[in-house]
Amino acid sequence: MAGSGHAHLRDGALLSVRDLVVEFPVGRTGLKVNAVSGISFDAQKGETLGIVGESGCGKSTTGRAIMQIPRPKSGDVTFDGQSLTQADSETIRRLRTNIQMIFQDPISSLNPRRSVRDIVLEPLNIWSVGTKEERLARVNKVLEDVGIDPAVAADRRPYQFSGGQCQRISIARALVLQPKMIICDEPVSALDVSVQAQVLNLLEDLKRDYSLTLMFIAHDLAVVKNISDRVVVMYLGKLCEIAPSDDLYRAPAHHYTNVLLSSIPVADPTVTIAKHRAQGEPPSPVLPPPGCRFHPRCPAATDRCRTEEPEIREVAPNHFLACHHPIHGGEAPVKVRNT
Amino acid sequence: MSTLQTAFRRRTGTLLRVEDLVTHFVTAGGVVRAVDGVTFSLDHGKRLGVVGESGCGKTILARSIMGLLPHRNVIRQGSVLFEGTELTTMSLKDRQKIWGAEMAMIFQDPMTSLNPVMKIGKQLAEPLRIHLGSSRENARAIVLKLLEDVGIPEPEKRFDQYAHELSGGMRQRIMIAMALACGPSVLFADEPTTALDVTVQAQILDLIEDQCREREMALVLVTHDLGVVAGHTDQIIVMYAGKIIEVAPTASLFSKMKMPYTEALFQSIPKLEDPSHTRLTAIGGRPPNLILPPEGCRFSPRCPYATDKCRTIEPELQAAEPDHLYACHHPVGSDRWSEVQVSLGRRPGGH
Repeated sequence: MAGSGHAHLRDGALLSVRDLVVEFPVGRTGLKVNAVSGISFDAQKGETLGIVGESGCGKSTTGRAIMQIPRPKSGDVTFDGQSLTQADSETIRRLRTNIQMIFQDPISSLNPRRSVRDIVLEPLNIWSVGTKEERLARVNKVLEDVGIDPAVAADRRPYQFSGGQCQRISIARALVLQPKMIICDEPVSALDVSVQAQVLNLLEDLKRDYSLTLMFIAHDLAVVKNISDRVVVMYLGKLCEIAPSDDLYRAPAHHYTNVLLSSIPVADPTVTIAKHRAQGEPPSPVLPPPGCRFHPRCPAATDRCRTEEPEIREVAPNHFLACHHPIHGGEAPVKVRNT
Repeated sequence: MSTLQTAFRRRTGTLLRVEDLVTHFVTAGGVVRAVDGVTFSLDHGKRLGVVGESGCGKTILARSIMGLLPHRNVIRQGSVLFEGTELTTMSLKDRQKIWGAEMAMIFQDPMTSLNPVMKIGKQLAEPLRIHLGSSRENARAIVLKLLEDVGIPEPEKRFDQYAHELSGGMRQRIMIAMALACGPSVLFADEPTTALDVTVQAQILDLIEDQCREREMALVLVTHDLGVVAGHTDQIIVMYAGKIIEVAPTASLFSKMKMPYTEALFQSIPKLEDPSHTRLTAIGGRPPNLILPPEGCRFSPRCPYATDKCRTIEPELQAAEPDHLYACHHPVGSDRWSEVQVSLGRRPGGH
């Protein structure tokens, strides 16, 4: 999995990430966590890009590194033709009005002491957008758009709302500056399935109404597939596979994608999915394995995988892969309908 | 309860019978009706799934059956018969003899469920020494075998390690080994894989399934994930707002679901086989407050098929088939259901 290379990058993308590296020191040991190790991808305007992977694969770090929190160790992030990695902090502050973020835990991402109106109003105050009346009108509009009744809710505080409603308020806060892009970091993982569906539908509607580009980071493949046009699969700080979501799920070419897909429990007792299981658990990103980072768990690993890192290449139109021994069509994941 | 030990154990018939079980919590804000009259039974060696959203009472149900709740500010009623023995009136001392030996439990968070300052081997040996009176050497041998059974590489090395030295999946395997140590006849697994990654979740579910089969052990699998219960249970209970609203064998629950709530829960899950951007059918609103649950059917405020009857008269559990019960005035397939389906522009009959 170790994918390096740029074969999959496109021209004219709204967001372009090249060779992004993020490392964190481990105390004073001199060791470092290789959270993201040289990944490249891009997102076209109006696209929903899904990023999927297990905990510790670097997907959240990638989202935050795009926002320059913290600044990546190396690599380049370009948004709308402007480099974020080379910009000074004032420019980044200004550019961030165009890229907003929403987080996993909706309750702790809202200030408990402030009213919903103040929370959503603050970005407008900071940037002195319009007159006070215009700002308040915009807050009301955005709250309505996310399905919160401003007349009832605007004076309440976050603790008076459920998790799903708090996530709606976070989305309103992200939307109020009319950004071009929203990075959603596990926005529905803390929600019950019934509420998760509401928030996913809401994001689809808002993407259309506000002409947004979305980056959707999650560990749940079914959720990612539902919302994304294109999906990036990450493992231990590297890219494995990038493809349009329907293609990726129909014909996964990377063994890790295959393992992920066949690990998802299916809510249909008449279907059994062929058991493709990875051995063990993801290793520590402090000492990632050499070669392809997935090789210690991969059912198809050879000596080559243990030493040589695979380059990203195109295996089908628009379908990119970093693997020496890809799965060829039809091998999996095989679903069997028991009758 | 030591008479229940393995040699005397019956392997068929009813293992657990729960009748009108009520667990209410007295809080400053009022009485929370967490479990509100639950009745079901579980046969030897069967795997039961309990599903529902957060706050539906599924975890409290499992803990009430085990007798793991505190006494203060808890109102409890009803009966739990385990192999014909009433557990609700049993003293703590007697219950402790059953925990681990006859009924074991694993929890969602494997880190906080293990003692961080006790070596893995010692923790695993503890139930063996206490319940079975094993000698130190004997216990060690059994523990090493258990570690191997639950798929832990290098058991000898792990024996002398602490919980923090192991990964989340490994810790959950240790929890399972600990639960299996005394050969219980039922294992309660409360969201055993929610804290784990999806690839590790699959391994742990496989492991629980294998161990249940091998040991002819019954399973109560509590989860919010319909996908998890679909593949790993024989029978499913769907809970909503402290009540059982549907019980059925797993296959018929999915093929012939009767409750509008079960249907809605199922439809709100994104499915891999659907093309991307498939519109999800969300359930409006959110689960009710259990201090003042809605009158009539508790799902009625969120139910598209609800009528005045639903808002006033609480539906009783009724049988669609002898083993398939549901509590609804307008179940899936009824006239009212078809009428609303048509008005919503959905094709009745198709899921």
